[in-house]
Amino acid sequence: MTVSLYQTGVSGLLAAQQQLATTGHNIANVNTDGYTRQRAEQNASPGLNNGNKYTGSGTYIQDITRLYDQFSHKEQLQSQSNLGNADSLQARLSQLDQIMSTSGNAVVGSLDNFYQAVNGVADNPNDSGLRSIVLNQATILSNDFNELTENFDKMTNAVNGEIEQVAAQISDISRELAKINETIMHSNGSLQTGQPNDLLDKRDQLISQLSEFTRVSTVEDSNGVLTVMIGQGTTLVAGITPLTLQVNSGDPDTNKTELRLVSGSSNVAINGESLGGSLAASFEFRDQHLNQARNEIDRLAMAISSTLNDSQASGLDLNGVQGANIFTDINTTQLQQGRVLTASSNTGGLQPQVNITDVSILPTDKFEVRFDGVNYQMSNLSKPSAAVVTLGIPGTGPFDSGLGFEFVEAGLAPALGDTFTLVPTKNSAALMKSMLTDGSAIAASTAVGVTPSPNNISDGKIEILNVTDPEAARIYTNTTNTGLTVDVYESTAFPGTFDYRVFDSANPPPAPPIVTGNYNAGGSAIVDLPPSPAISAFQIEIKGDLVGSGTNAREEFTIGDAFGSGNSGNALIMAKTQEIGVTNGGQETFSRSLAVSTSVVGSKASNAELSADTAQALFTQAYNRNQATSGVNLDEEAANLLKYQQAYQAASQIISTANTLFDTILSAVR
Amino acid sequence: MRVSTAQFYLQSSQQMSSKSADVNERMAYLTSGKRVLTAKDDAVSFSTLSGYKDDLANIEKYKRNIDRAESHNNLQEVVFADAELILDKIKQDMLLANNGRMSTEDLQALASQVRSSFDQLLDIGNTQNENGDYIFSGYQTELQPFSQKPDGSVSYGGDTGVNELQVAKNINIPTNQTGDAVFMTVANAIGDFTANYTTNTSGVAVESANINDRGTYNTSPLPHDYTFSFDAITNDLTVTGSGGIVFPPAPYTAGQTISFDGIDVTLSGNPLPGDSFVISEQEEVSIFETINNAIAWMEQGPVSVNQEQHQVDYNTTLNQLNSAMNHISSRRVDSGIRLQVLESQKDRHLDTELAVSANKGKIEDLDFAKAISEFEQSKIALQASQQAFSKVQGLTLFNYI
Repeated sequence: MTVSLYQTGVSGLLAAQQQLATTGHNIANVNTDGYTRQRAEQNASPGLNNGNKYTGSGTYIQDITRLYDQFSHKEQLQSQSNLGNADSLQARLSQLDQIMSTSGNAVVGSLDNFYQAVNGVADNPNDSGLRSIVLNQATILSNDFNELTENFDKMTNAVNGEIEQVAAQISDISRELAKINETIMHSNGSLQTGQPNDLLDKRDQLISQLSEFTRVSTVEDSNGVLTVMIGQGTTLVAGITPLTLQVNSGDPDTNKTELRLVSGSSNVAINGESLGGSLAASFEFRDQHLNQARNEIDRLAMAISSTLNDSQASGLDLNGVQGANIFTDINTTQLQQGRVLTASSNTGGLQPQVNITDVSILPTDKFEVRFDGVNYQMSNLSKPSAAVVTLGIPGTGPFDSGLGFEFVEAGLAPALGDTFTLVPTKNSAALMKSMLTDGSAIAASTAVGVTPSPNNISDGKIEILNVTDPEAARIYTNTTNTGLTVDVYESTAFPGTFDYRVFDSANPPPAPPIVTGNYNAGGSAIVDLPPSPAISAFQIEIKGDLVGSGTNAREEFTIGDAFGSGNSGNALIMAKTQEIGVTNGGQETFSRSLAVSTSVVGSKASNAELSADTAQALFTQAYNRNQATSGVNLDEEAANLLKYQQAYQAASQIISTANTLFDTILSAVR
Repeated sequence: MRVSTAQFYLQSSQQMSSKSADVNERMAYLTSGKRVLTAKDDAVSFSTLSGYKDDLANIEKYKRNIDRAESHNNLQEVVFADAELILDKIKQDMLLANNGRMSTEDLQALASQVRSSFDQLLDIGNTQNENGDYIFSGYQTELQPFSQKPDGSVSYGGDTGVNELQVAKNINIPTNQTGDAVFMTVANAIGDFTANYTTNTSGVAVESANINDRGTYNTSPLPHDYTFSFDAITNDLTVTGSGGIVFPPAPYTAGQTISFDGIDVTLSGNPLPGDSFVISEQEEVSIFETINNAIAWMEQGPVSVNQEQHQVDYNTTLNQLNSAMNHISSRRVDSGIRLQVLESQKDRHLDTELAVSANKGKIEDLDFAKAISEFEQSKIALQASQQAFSKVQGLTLFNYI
């Protein structure tokens, strides 16, 4: 009996010791990340049967378990992924929003200054100082675009760098997890019993770190080995075998790096955007938001360049020469080639180019052209639901896509399955440069002008449109002919129709006129001059009810040379391009286009902020719930210390009582 | 619900950092005075705000252009006022010259006065603006528009170009008038023809000669010179054109309108038999030609033979001078009208600017009262969280055991 009392006491002592140790462990690890508090499970020892009753024989510690709620832990993992995603996206979008707003403001300012200078030239066309100011402002404008592009490039590099870092970290975590799995497996497989709590904690901590980078789900097998899957179910740690993540440069766009899952000697591509967590946010930001903003800025640069270049080309500079490009031509060979990315898997030798034909309808989407053996097929990568367009058979190019650009073949023939990625807007902002150095090259003067006869009696006018070759227009009007006369009158045979004739002023009818024609009341007639089959240098539009006083008294207009150093007609037209819509089907002016792009980014950033706040709140809730079960509370542990201390003291009292009893018995039998 | 120690510290630190981030943000707004710093602050209003900023920039542009156009048109108005004065002086001299008791020396003195007025007018025609550009040359602002030939006539060397400036979205205002339009194309006081008198014993003059049917006129044979002759015996009027007789001989009654080839002619005075004159097409007469005619008339001195013709010439020249003065006045009115339009546009723009600025301010400007009270609030929240933390963090059972 006494013996069993000893044993009981000792068992209580040992139990109390273990409990104290566990409590001490908890207190020591109060600040350890991911630590789950442990508890010694105390069980009563089974009673010994002596006769017809069971006498209890003390206590034992069955196991030291950790207080772990797997459901709340899973919830925390999930909300941690969402938080990682939302935080990363918010930080990046805020940065992009800053860049767009500040650099965007700079561009709007430069644009305004440029047009101010053009208006100055419209007032005083032969002032060379004002002309050089225009060129200065043009340089500043193109520099602003270059800088904006550089900022985008820096952001891309930063995101790519982060992706690489995260991939390396994930690979490290994967290896660690595999090692821990192995250790746990061995500890479970041998005759050791009990849970390796701290190893489990370490493993959970690693998984928690992983969940910030991607979405994580786990499956535990009977040996306690955890298989870890990331994203939509891609296995990262298969039991004790780790797989790693590798970053490869993209194909065909090398800046669009890709993730690959490496296992032994083989690797498989992973779609970064479906991984969840901050990795997905990085990919989403780089491939969607940053790309979109960059394409829109590129398209704006292209619109500005081509509009101003066209304005220049329809006028004459101070030397009577057709205005040269003021900004880089949007269809230089370098730009045309840069718009097409060739997949490295292509076997054919085709090196295609993209030629822009109409900036106003150009989209910011990305396209893919594939040679299926017979035709080129073009699909829209940004809008997968759009129909596939058949461009045509190789050799019959260039192919008009109907979206403002052409696919131009160059180099050798394509092979079956060759794919090309087209980004029509690529590089326009980066390569935008101001081309003119001499102020007299600004084409402020118009080439030809219309003078109505003072004897005209009706309402109506003739306007000059579409001057494509101002020098030829002048020569045709003044040299080939001695001025052109256009006369119009209302047809007597068909009232409501107006007949017109265009002829050389020195060679009036009955000599054959250059062009004749008619138009209906309320309409107008557009005449190419010189008429086909010659190449049209300019067009005139005859409109209005030019009734005239009769067949022999028609309304007359003379078209003559208008060039002069004091002519600022073309500068006026150029200045007006600030207010005409160019992009988006001709609806948005330049500054409006920029404002739209900026506010799109701003609203994305603002939404991301809201999402981040929500995600943070959800994560905090999940964390709290998890901590409610697993977290260490110092006050509780302090109380436990006292509790187990007392138990220890009481148990030692048992031993001392047992000792006293033994002494008593011993002294009784002496 | 159980709260772990780690949770407590995490929550406190999170709250404190979020409160101090809040304070920071509010400070940024306060120091800039703007509610919308980047598009993120109010994405929906941002594009409206950009629209307002664009409008304001455009209005600035228009105001600048208005100022420039005003300075051009002001210069023209001043120049025209000078021209009007000169023409008036010439007219006065011309009126004086018709006094029958003027001697040759007097007429020569008048003629040289008119000559110096002519030179002044020529100089006005060649006015240059502050940049050295000739304002009446059209587009050829580096070329002097008017030059006098050795025979005294003045030719125009510029072109017919008119420059414009944009002063509102759809309004362009011309900034110059061509020398051609101002000085060379004065309407002929008679109509569309001038008369050249071969024999004029009666003092008959062409009062008006207008083309009223261009269709018929354009198909009549060229050149359009018509000879009016009054029969030496019957005093019947015959008009002969290039293709033959267009008005068969018929007696002429005073005040009768003579029509032929789409032209209507009226004469003044009573023609005598034997009178004849030729009318040729001239729709516009240059001012310089008129003044030269006046000088030539004066330099003839007192005339004793063919005084009727002399008087007819005088009347023609004086009428043409009046026509020239009206013409210059009209040109001055043109500049005046443009200045008026510019003025009203400027007022319109100022009004619009005010309205747009107000709207822009509503979106962009910070409501300082609200912002400051929000800033105070977030400051207090931060302080409260800091104090709460310091009070509570010291509470632990370990202090008591």
